[in-house]
Amino acid sequence: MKSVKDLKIIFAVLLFSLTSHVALTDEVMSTTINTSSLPVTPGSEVVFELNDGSGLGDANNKATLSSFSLGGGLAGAVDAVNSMGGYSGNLVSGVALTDSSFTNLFAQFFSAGSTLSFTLDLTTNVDAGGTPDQFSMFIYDPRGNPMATTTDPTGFNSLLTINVDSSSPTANNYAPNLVTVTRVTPVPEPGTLLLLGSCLMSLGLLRRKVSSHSRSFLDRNMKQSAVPE
Amino acid sequence: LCVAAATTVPAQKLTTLYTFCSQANCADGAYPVGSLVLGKDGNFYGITGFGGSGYNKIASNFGGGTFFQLSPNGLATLYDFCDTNNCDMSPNGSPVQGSDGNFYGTTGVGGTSNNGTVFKITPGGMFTILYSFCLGGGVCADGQAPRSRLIHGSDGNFYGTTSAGGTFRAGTVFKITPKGTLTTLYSFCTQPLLDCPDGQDPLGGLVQGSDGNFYGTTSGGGRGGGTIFKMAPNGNLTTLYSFCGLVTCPDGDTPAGSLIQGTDGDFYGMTAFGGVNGNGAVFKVASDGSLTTLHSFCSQPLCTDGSLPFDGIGPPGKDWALYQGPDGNFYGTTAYGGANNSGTVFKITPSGKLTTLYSFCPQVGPPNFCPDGAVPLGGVIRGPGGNLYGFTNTGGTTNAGTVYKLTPACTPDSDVTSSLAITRSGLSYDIHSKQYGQTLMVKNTSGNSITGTIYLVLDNLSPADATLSNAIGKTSCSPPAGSPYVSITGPLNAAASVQVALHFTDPTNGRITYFTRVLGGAGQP
Repeated sequence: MKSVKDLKIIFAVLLFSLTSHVALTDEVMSTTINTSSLPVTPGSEVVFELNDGSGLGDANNKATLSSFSLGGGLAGAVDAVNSMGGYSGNLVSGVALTDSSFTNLFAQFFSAGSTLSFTLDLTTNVDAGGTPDQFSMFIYDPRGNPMATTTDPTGFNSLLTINVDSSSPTANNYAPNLVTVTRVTPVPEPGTLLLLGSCLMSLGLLRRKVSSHSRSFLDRNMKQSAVPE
Repeated sequence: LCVAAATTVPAQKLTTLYTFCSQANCADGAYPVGSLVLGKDGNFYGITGFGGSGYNKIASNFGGGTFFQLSPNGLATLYDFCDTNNCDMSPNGSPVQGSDGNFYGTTGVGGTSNNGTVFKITPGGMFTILYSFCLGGGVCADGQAPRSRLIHGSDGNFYGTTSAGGTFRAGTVFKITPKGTLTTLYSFCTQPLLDCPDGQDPLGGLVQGSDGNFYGTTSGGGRGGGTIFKMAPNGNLTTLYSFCGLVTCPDGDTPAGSLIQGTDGDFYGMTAFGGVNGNGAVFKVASDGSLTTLHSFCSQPLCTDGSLPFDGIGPPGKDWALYQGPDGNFYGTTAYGGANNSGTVFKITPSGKLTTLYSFCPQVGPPNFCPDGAVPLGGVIRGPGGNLYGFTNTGGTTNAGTVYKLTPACTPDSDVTSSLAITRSGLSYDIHSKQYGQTLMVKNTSGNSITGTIYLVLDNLSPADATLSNAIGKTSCSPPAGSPYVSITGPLNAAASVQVALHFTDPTNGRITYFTRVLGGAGQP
């Protein structure tokens, strides 16, 4: 009986973890920015951020940017002065941001081509406390001015922000005439798959144990019935 | 009615910012005149009638006055009117700052023929006489003895009055270009045999109305108690009102300061004398000339509501004006009366309810005279922090006048946070401005409209070196004090939402945290 109880608890914990603490999916988005208004000379700069809403650097979300194409442009140096927090990579190999600090910012110079495109894979674990993690993207011209005046309500002229406030957050496109964001079929997180697998395994184990226990119980009862009162 | 309409409120905090004659031989000036002026650089500027390098009290030489700047670093004497060959120019107060950044004003005497001048002075103190009155002698057809401030007209020229001179020797209205070309627009007392029904001897300045016309007063003429006039830019003058139709002049007598146009379109001013009690009055006049006497001073026993808006010495030409605050009320000074008969700062509503905000000189007598000042002249202006700033003509520890700041007692706003749902966005960082940006969606969930100015306050903003860079102020009236806030344009109707942008500086890129509080109502944050 005790082992059945233990399994029920394990099952409940796994189910709770699966439904409450772990995102079922990432958000995967294909993003293309028309950069033809930028001069082809070096010095334009692209900035990606994944800032932590909790402020504690809880490292519960990750933005993976891959498959970069500069539309005929060239990648320049990573801006090590302004980049900070949990970042790695570059526009050639791909960029990874983790909200392991309050501010996690990757910046790199480039020579603009006709477009800048990439695939964004963003995990969607919601922070407690009311302020969500936020992914945002800026592009500046070689003079340091925003590439365009956008509808960014902060007035900072970001091109795109995503507030991780649900498992399926909305992409705020502040320059729809320049930026195209297309949602790609979500892919389960590896961690989620692992937990799901564990859960299913637990369920199977539970069934087996319960079946075994049931048989023992029946056998015992049958034996007891055979004893005369 | 007036007795019932005058009240006194406690807890107004007065701070003396500067006491004149603090330097040896009053080199820093003495006895300020007119109003303080808030310069475009955020510093105060003004004029003293006496003091400066020529001051020698033993020789009964009180100096020619100074032009000064009062900044957070203290007082700097920018020009000494005794530096010229003439140590008796009698500068009038309230210099006006032109679009070129220079200050323009008048002196009652001095200049080539010693009949007064229009001058320009740079913020650095370089003085130039633009025009000397009465160069032609005779009746001084171009005017004589200006006694008031200039105003900057919408055409870029300056406009003013002279108290004497003109074709009929009863004063003029003039226009002068920034380079000094003067045009006499009107000479008063065109009918001397009828005792100048169009007015005479203007002592106050002008105000340009929203209709483009100029409005002003004459201290005499009309029915004997002075007039209010309207003058078109081409000089066509219309007398809107003549004071003293009745012998006791209950409507007021001798309007001498400048008018101001209220937000309701009417013009508001004061008379030096008259009113029900003969000690001056506050009035308003519509552009059609209909006049309402809003308050007669000395309506309370011992004139605790104030008395006489001028110092009573010589002609009441030490220019004054009311000031309309953002609350729609008017603010001004009386030279005497109040709890200590040393003058008051008062507030009066557009309908005439007067409140005495401060009575000078709670401590009377030497050696400290009235350490907080006495005989406030020229009215008050609103400056940094929403405080009122002004001069006293005398008092202070040297009895030579002060610059003061009056912090009005406040009414806290209502906390309406529970009526709202606030949703925060994440933060983004602008690498060029080095600022964080965040937006808050504020939704009214109360079912009732929230009216007036609404303030979003950030309490306990952390880290310590973080600031809300787009804050418009910090709480001072609604505790806790010192929290930065931004305003939300009201009203916020039921179920309506508004998005508020916040900008933070955070030099160490530390974790930004804060609590939100929303204030509304008729009080102050």
